[in-house]
Amino acid sequence: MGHVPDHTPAAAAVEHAALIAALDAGDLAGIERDRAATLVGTCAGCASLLADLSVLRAATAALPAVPRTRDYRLTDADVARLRPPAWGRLVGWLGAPRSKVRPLAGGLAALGIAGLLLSTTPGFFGQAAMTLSTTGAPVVAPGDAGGAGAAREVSPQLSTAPTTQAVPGATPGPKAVPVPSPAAAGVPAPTAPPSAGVLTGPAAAATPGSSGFSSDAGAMDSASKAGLPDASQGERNAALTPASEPATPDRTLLLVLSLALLAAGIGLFVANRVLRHRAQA
Amino acid sequence: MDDPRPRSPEDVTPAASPDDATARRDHLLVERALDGELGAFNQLVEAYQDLCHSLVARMVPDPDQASDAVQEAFFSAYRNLRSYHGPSFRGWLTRIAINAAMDLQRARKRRPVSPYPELDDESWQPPAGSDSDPETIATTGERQRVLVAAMGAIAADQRTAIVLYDVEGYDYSEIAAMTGVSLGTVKSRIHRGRLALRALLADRMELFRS
Repeated sequence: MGHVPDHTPAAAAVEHAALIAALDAGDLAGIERDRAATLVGTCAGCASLLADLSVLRAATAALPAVPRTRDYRLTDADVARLRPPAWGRLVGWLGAPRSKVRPLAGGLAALGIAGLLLSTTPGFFGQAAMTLSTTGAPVVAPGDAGGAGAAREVSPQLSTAPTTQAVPGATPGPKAVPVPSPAAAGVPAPTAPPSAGVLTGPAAAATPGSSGFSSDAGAMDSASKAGLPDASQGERNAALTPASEPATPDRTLLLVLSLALLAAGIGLFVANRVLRHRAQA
Repeated sequence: MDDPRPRSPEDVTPAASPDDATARRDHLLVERALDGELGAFNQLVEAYQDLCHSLVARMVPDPDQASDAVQEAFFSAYRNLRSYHGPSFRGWLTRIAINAAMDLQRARKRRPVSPYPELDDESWQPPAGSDSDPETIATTGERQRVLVAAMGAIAADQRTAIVLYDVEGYDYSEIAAMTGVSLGTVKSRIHRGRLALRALLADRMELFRS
């Protein structure tokens, strides 16, 4: 439903009054001014209103200055009280127009995005870890905390056969079979039968290097093939799961760190924007 | 090569108008105040406290609240002195004082107090010219008293616009910039405010016509 013009006398009076007020202020031009002048010439009330507005305007302009009753100079106590607290200075820094907040926020967000990309790139960590293992870096199986191989560090020379032959000792958890492990004693076991699930060849070389979990997974796989009675199917599945997924502790750490950096960058940017808007308002 | 973009007054530093002695003095005092010299800031307070008080007292009817608003304006100016970039310290400070007065009026709207306590005091008389006879002094005093009372009764935004335009002499665009509204809104507030004053003083207009 469209707007219906109000043609009541009251509405007309309001409109005429507004026109006269605009004429008194000198804000009318052209047709509007002619119309207002016609009103003043033909309507006694309009003429009276114009005269009243004029004298009121003059009286308002002639109002004397209000005498000051207080000295507004600041004292040292005022200055001490006005000094902003630490959080106030922080907010001031965050909202300052020319502070380093925006470049810092951009840098943090860029680092976070880069970290996210790296952590989600398939194979990045596997290749990096393999490179480490083949260059002689020590590889520690994370599942060895309570096992017989807790202090086991694989030397470059023992990175294949001794590790894979230490199958019983590498069984994770407290249920580890208390079988004397040649690896734990630091003695190679050349008599271990290959048919007992020992990884050989390239797989044996690559498995410990891919991750700590895969080393244990290989051990568990060997244990299952050897028919060890204390390794339940659930435990075996739990031990096998990490090896089948790309996530590693390093990858998770990078992921969390990247998300934190990204959140910090976005937070700084938003804080800067909001505080600057508030300051401008 | 000169930048062809138009520059706002805020872009112009005080050093760009070296002919203005007052602006130069204010700029020097601001720099000394920023260096931690409280005396320099207090010189600025001395220079502008009458102006600020007169302006705010017209906008805020209650004298005590007006004084508080002016004090808060100077506190705010001291706190935010680093954000002053010219060209006119007077304009910058006036804007702070207007904001302080408007904030106070908004708070007053939420917690209304008795307006114009001086109107309850029959002995209160606004100052009049020294060269007038007693009858004129009395008439002028009465005229100013009823006008101030009517000013306190109209809407705060209309009162602010009228004070800034009629009393302080700012133009429409300056008032629009100070109060953060459009030029048309400023005009409308002034027109409506004057009409409201006339309606409130309809039965006392003979005081003004004489």
